[in-house]
Amino acid sequence: MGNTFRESVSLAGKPPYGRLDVRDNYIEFGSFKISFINLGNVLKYLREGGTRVEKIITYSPDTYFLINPIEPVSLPKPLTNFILLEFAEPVVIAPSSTIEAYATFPIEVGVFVINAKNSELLDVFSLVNQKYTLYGTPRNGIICRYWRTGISTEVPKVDLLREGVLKLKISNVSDYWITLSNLVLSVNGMTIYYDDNHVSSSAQATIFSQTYAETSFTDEPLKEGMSKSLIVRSQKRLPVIRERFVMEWGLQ
Amino acid sequence: MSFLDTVIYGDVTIRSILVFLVLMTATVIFAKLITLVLKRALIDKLKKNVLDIILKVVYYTIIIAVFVGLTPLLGINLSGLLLAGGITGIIIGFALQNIVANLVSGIFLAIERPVKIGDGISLGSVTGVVEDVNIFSTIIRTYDGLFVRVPNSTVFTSNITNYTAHVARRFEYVVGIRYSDDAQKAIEIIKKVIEEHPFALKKPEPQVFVDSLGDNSVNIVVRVWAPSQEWYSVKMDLLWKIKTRLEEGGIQIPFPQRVVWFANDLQLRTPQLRPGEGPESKNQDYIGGEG
Repeated sequence: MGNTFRESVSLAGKPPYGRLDVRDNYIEFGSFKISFINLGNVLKYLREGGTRVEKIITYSPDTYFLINPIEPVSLPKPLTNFILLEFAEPVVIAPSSTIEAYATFPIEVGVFVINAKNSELLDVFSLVNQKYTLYGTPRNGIICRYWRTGISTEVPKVDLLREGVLKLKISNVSDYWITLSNLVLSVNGMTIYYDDNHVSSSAQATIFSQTYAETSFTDEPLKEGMSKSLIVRSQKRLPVIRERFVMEWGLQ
Repeated sequence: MSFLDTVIYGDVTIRSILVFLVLMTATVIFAKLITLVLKRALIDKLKKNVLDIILKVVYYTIIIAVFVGLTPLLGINLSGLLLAGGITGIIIGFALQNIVANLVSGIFLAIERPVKIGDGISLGSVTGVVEDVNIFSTIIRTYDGLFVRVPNSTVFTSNITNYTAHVARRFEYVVGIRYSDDAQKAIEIIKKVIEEHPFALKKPEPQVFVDSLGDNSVNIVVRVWAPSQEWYSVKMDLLWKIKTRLEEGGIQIPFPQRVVWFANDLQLRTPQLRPGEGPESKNQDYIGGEG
């Protein structure tokens, strides 16, 4: 059956994240191309670029589609709930002091189909390469999504299709100078915000000693008026518990 | 007489059971709190494995001590229980030696947990995935799909290799290149291929180095860590990519070869052909003679 939707419309000039208009013949997201093809009473979702994804979706007037950043631990396949940020320059923090800084995190994009009752994750893709690492020992450590980031006191300029801005609050409550090169965070409880210019999240770390710190994501947008992403955990209707992670295998 | 004073058995009332449950819950929370405080206090002063043992000892000592102290609330006489248990144990031990051995082994396996459901293990001559750990036996599905039931006493007394107990494991290739190839360039190509693979772990860092000068090739050892769950797929995936990329970079993996030196100069003899003989005699001049 032919496509009865309106002429091809690319995403250029439109906000990249938010509600998708299925009347658009296709949208472009970096090197990816997303199409919705009308097959009568069902729609075909088609994503080209990288691995081709095709799905048939039952469609009713209250159904809509949403594209937004999700927790960056789903690709190539879900393996962990942790992300390790390696700072390009180590941060040296004075005893009993707190700094606020900005880092970046990788973006994975989720496409959801939603109706009045529930939502379902249709597809996940990303414009950045994935890499994983081990934090701790092979016996007791954890596998983490690896991301190398700069750290700055001002909001970094990043490509919002590829990188989000992570607002960090790091407190050193110990009596020692602390050199911090890595930060491991559990994405359980990660909240992501987006608008036309930024994707953002926020996190905090409390350092108790040279080898021990507690980290967690916090629920704070980069600025007022940003939209909150529908994330995979909320899609699964799991209770969003802001999980603290204990870094006990060192901070460097 | 209130509802809480209703006697359930002996001197045990609903009140005493509730008191027992509340105190045990409080004890568990207290024990967790104590171990958390100890962990924060000692993490810099002790090795992690020593600290873990101390924390476990403290945790379970608190819980067991309080449990023993509270058993009178449940009307349990521990000394009588121990005596009865001992006699029963002896009788059952004689009568059902193998079954009890498997049962006891199963209990110890449940405590020690050397294998979990879903682990890839090697147990004696059996290699496969653990499907179930029952009280009497452990069920293994071999990699070719066979059902193997191993009695728990055998599991408990055998050497077990658990391939997935740790979160990451390493694999190794030996890649041979020609003596005429640039080994440094080959190492850089291999490192780049590893870097591009998502599940070839960043840390522990992969190792790529010239390991030996072989008979036919310069041998480069490649060691890569991968998540245990993905170990085999990464191993299968990487080797062919390394081979392809090396060839694209002009580096060849040589066949076995041998250079033979002769003590004396070789004398080449060609047969004397008459006109009309030989494969291309119609188009070529006749070549003949000796030496």
